[in-house]
Amino acid sequence: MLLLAGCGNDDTTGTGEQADGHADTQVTYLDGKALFELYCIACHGAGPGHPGTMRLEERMSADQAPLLDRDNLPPDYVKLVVREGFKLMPPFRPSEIDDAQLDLLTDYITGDNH
Amino acid sequence: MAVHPGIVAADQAPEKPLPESLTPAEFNRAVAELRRAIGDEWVFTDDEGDLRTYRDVYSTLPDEANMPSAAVAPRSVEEIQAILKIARSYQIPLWTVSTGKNYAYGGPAPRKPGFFVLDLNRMKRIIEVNEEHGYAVVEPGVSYFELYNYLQRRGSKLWIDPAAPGWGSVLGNLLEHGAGYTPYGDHLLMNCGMQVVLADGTVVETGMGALSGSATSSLYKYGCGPWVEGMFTQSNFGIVTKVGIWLMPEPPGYRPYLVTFPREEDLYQITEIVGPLRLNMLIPNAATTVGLIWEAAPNATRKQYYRGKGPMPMRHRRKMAQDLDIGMWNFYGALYGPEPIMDNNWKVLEEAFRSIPGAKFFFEGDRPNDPAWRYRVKLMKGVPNMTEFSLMNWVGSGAHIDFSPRSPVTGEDSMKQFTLIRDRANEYGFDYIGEFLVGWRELLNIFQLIFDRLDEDERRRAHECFGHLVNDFAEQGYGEYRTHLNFMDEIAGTYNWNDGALWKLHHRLKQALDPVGILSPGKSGIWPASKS
Ligand SMILES: Cc1cc2nc3c(=O)[nH]c(=O)nc-3n(C[C@H](O)[C@H](O)[C@H](O)COP(=O)(O)OP(=O)(O)OC[C@H]3O[C@@H](n4cnc5c(N)ncnc54)[C@H](O)[C@@H]3O)c2cc1C
Ligand code: HEC
Repeated sequence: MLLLAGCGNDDTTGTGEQADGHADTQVTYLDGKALFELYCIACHGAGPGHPGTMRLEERMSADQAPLLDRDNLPPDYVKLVVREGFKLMPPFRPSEIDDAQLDLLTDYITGDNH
Repeated sequence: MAVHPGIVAADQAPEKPLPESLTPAEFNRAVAELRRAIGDEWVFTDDEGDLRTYRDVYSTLPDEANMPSAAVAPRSVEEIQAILKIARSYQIPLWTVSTGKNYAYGGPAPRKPGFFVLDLNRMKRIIEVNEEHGYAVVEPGVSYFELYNYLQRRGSKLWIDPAAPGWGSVLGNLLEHGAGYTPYGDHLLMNCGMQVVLADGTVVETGMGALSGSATSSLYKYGCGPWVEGMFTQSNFGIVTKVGIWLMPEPPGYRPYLVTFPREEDLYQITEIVGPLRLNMLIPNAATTVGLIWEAAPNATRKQYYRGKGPMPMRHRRKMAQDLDIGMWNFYGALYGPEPIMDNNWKVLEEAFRSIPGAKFFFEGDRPNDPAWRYRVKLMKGVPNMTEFSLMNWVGSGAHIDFSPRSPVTGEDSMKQFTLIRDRANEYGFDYIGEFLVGWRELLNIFQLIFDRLDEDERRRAHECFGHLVNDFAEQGYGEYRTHLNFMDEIAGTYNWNDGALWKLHHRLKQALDPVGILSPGKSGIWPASKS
């Protein structure tokens, strides 16, 4: 679920979009799938063109290289890599993915719900 | 928690460096005041935890060279003003970033250890999108991905123009004079209107926006009187909190193409051909001539073709070019517009490129599984992605910094740029990994100096190689348009005409606008009076 919050506050119920085509929306991401698609999929999606997947294919079987296909990722390890980075993958700051969002993101990646 | 072997070792220093102006007690007091001003959870000081996310993980220097002592992430202009008040009273150097993805030039890290980072990534409002007049107004934290997703969801017919990394911001990138690959690729040119917070907390709207109730703040760039936007780019004269950006209406047709060329020397003729075509706008977007390794990297790694040390020999490069069906140079461009116009323009372009022996042409459908072709096709129509990071898989443990000089658009200048960089890179054991772009009247060469950051010796060589290049190019009258944190003073030093008159002017402006010297000290080699 991706919600467009009213401007400048944490009200995540309204879209903030005005009828005249003017926008004024604060984009807030409230679930793991949306977070994964915004921050991770461009590098970790399946198939060619994804630098994360390309690199992981060098160290594991091709069917395990896309992050969502992995069956052995410990949640704490995902969190560590997100905050520490990993070679060409730079770290993500809490101003990008806060701790609560990181929990949602990790649950999504390590769960079966995708 | 165990540190994974692939991760660069943690900062070993027992005590973290603080800004020169602060004692440890003052640091703690300032941090407490900042926490009260914007909330505990948005002030970061744990140098073994959250603060480590502000490292420049691609630097040629160790992490410590650019480690902040704290970071603050406000959500609004009012919070920025509260932070500025505290910073002025304690003389805290505040290094401003927006999305902070300025990798290759420093990422979110500050110029000097101990600085505080002012991180505006949480300011994510898309304030306005105007479909009819083709523009958007956004805050600092709005990334290309976010703006693109937003437009797609509402069925907009406006394109964005992302830099190759889709996670960067409209605002941060244009302040750096960044570029993209559609006809709207010169980002600062497409900027219309800014909001700036000055060091004393004053908020200024520029251009037409200065007129109360302005009807044209995102439509006409220059307002009336001096045009000041440029002053707030690549500078430390203010904090930009909002920008207008013109968006290109989706054209009736789009036809990307690739022309490959078999020999290194072909660069001369490619440049001679492309220059006038770009100048006359038959090539309306970034005319990009991509070097062999850059073009190969989304498909291959170095060790698949060569396991030796030092630059990859020509024999191996030829084999790779053949396997991947690419050239020593690979020209990407696109046609935009109604079909008859594209048909006609293509006749001119095709004839011009055919004059180079061995030129091969590729169009939509010819390379369906080639990720290099696919990401170029996306970039030239404004679809953000991250494929270019594949370049750092070339050596497997890749980090890189960019060397980005500009010359006139002639065959001779292109070959001079290329051979200077290639020879210097080879001397230090690196491959030439680069591309040439014709902005309009100038030829930009982006050289990605890709190195293994875990290899101390390689990292040191990369640093030295870069330093040499700065001098090599200055001697030819070529300047860099932008640079990494750790080379800002060197590059500022090359802009030295009339005893450095321009940088003296920058310093006078700095003194007038930020007398306490709190905003991004050292940005572009501009320092507060107390430190210069
Ligand atoms: C593989 C790769 C490919 C790249 N390709 C491109 C490319 O095609 N085109 C291109 O332009 N760049 C490219 N880059 C360089 C860089 O990554 C991008 O330019 C990126 O968009 C910059 O980061 P950002 O947008 O997050 O800006 P930020 O990091 O937020 O800002 C950049 C700088 O601008 C200043 N600044 C930021 N916000 C403010 C503010 N609010 N007020 C005052 N000053 C401010 C600061 O000095 C800051 O360090 C590439 C880098 C890599 C690694
Ligand atoms: C710029 C591209 C990029 C982005 C964006 C990116 N990653 Fe990565 N990631 C990589 C690369 C490359 C590696 C492999 C590093 C190596 O082994 O050299 C990696 C490795 C990882 C690993 C370790 C896998 C293993 O088996 O060791 C995890 C976990 C991970 N990433 C999670 C994420 C998450 C979660 C996100 C989004 C928040 C993300 N990444 C975003 C490029 C990226």
